[in-house]
Order: sequence, then C-alpha cells, then structure tokens
Amino acid sequence: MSDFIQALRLQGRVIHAFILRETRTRFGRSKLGYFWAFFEPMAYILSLIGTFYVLNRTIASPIDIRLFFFTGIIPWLLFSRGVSMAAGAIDANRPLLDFPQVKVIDVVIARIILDFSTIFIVSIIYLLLFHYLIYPVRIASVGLVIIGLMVSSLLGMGFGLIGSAIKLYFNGYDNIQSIFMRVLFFTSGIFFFGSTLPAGIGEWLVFNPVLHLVEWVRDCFFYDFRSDFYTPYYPIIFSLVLIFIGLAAEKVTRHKIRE
Amino acid sequence: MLEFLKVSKFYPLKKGKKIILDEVSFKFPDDSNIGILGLNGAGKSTVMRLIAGSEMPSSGFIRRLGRFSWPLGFGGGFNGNLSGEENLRFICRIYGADIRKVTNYVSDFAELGRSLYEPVRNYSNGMRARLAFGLSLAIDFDVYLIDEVMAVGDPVFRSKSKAAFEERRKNSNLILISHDMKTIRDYSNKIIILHNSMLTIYDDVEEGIKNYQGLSAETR
Repeated sequence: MSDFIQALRLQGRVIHAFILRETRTRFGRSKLGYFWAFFEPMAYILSLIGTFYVLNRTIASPIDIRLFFFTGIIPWLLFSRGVSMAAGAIDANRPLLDFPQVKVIDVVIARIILDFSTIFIVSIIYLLLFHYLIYPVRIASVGLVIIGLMVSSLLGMGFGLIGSAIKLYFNGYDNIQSIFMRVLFFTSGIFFFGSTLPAGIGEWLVFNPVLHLVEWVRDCFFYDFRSDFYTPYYPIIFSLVLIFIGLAAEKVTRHKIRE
Repeated sequence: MLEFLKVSKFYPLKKGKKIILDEVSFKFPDDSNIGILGLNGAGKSTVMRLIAGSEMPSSGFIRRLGRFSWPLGFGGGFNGNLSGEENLRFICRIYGADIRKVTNYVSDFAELGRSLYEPVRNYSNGMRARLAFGLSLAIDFDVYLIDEVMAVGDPVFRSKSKAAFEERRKNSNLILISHDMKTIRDYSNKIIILHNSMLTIYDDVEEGIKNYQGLSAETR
C-alpha cells in the first residue's frame, strides 16, 4: 500500500513538473502564446459569423448567434486540442523519456490539464467581456456545462492516446487523423443544431460523441434552448472506453517508445 | 543492488535483428565501481540505458534497489528548446530535489556562466556534459551511470570532477563506459566485458583490460 502511495506521489511530481515545463514552452518564450490562446476561439467565431453573413444564413433560434458559436467552438477546441496534445506528447518530449520515472501518460495528463485550464480561463474572460460589454449572460447550469467541457477534453485525450500508439507503427497516421478531424469539425454541431438535421443524416450523426457534447453544453448553457438530441452517458462512456484502450495501448507499446 | 534476470535485448534490423544481450542472468557486485568494456557496436550504451531504466529489455527483468542516475552521456536527458536552467528545474522536480540548492551547486560546478540561461540546443557537447555532471552530482544518487563523459572539459574541470566523484565514492558507486583505459583504471575496481551478447565479470581490473585488449586484437 505504501508502495502504491509512493508511486502516486512520484507520478504527481512528474505531472507537476511537466505542467510547469509545458507552461514555460507555451507561454514563457514569448507573449505570442498568450495572444494565440486568447484569439484562437475568437478567430473561429468571427469566421463562422462571417460565413453565415455571406451565405445570408441564420440559426432558427432566439439565442444569440455569437454565444451559439461560442458554445460550439469551446467544446470542439477542447476536444481537438486534446487530440493533438495527446498524440504529440511523445514527439515533443522524447529526450525526457530517458528518465525512467517519466511515463508517456504523465506527459499526456499534464498537457491535457494545462490545455483545459487555458481554454477554460479564456472562456471565462470571453463571457465576462460579453457580459459587461454586450449584454448580461445567464448560464442555466454552470456545473453541467463544466462537466461537459471536461468530458470534451477527456474524449480528445482518449482519441489522441490511441493515435500516439498507432503512430509508433504507422507513420501515415497523422494524415488520417487530420482528415478524420476535419470530418468531425463539420459534423459536430458547431454551426447547427442536431434537431435541424435531415432524417437521413441525423440517424448517422447521432453516433458522433462530439455532437453529443456540443448539444450537451448548449442545452445546459442556455435557458431558452432544450436539446433532446444528446445522451450524456454516450460521450462519457465513449471517452472512458477510448482512454482505457489508449492506456492499454500505451502499456503495450512502452517497449517501442523506449527504443 | 542490481540484477539481470534472463534479460534479452535486441533491435530489429532491415535484415534479421541485432542482439545486444541474449538471456543474460547476472548479478552486479554491490559496492563496486564497475567499468564496462566492449567492442564498438557491442551495445555498451544500450546496456547502460537498460540499467538506468531508460529502455526496457525485450524480455526478462531487471531488479534494482537504490537510486540510479539517468545515463549521463552526450545526448539525451535534456530538452534542447529549454534553457539549461529550465531543464535543471524540471529534473529537480521529477527527482524531488531542492531547486535552489541544485542551481547554486550547478552554476558553481559546471562553469556555464550565463549560458545556463541559454537554450540547451546551443550548447557544445562539453557544455551539455558539464551540465549533466553537475546536475547529477547535486542530486544524490546511489549509483552514477556514466557513458563516455568522464573526461570532458579542460584539465581544471577534469580534476574538479574527479575530486567530486572521489567525494561521492564514499556513499555512491559508479558504473562507467569509456574507451580510455586510463579513465577505467582511475575510476573502476571491477570490469565487465560485453561480448557476444554476454556479460563477463573480472574482479581484477588489469585482467579485465588484458582480456578486452585481446578481443580488440582478434578483430583487427
């Protein structure tokens, strides 16, 4: 038992060290890191608003279009950045794997924690700015929104973990992943409601866990939007299964990494 | 305590595989300073990495008790994009060492001056080795694993590191790889030869060196 606690303590130490180290590489070098972290969601939101404006489209809902995109982009960013953070963890830190106490999973956990915190804080700043500059924001259920966002990160982490294992054996995986991510971007409800999908497509997209998460976050965020499209258990179980497979894959491929 | 239990290690090559160790069961002698000798390409550095735990054996187990350093060599261990000082902080954290104390020791010992705050990728080999050296000396290890970097730097630095290791030797041990027999004689009191995927121990350093030189002669 004390062995176990000792091991946990060691892992905690390693993860802590990695969070600080990754913070340093992301934000310490230059102020550009902060700039990018802050403006990335904005860039997405503005380009979506621009696209809708040019196409002369609106959403069939009383909710504000800016907040509508915001609540789609944030879970998407958490998911997609989670994927790339987890999948790129080895490449970014290979020399440090010389230290026997450093495990790939520690790096992945550290990066996910850092990324979640960054996007979370940026989101709060956005909401505060919106609240004070545009009009007051009321969130229906803060706790459930936060849980939805956490699951988005975990889903990305599971997906990325599996990717990082496949990458060790198959170099072309990066391309496949980016195609897959693009498909997910267009099918995850960032710029539409699940309920507005035509019957033939909706039946299929219901299997996309990211769409569930986006609907989840919106459902819990807005007072005047109710989604019956999502099942909370679906993305949660999906994430847990992916993480489980990813961890098993990490254990199997540990030899391969340390070669 | 360090013991190999049926340890095999091989790498797949384009054709067949390169076998470094073949089912080696071997107990390393306690409280000894061991020089590892072997021909080029026999896999000395890989054995060192196995001992450190930086690499896993292909099969078998390695039992170790006590704190082993990471393999101190010219490459590895540092992230090139971060400064020496940032790398130092990271390593202190994962070993649970006091960052301030270690920084003081290293900046005094490694003679890097302001380069300590430059990215490690701009370091020369010697500078990297000095940083690794100072850092590992500042963190207490029971066994130091040294891969060819014993004789770095100018004579002043060399005698300084020798003195530092002399001091350490009271409580810690060394396992080192070197092609320089003088370094081997200076630091080790046992020899292990890695040859034909096997490990052989010699309690007498001179006998070990003689056997090793016999190997070298054979292949020439």
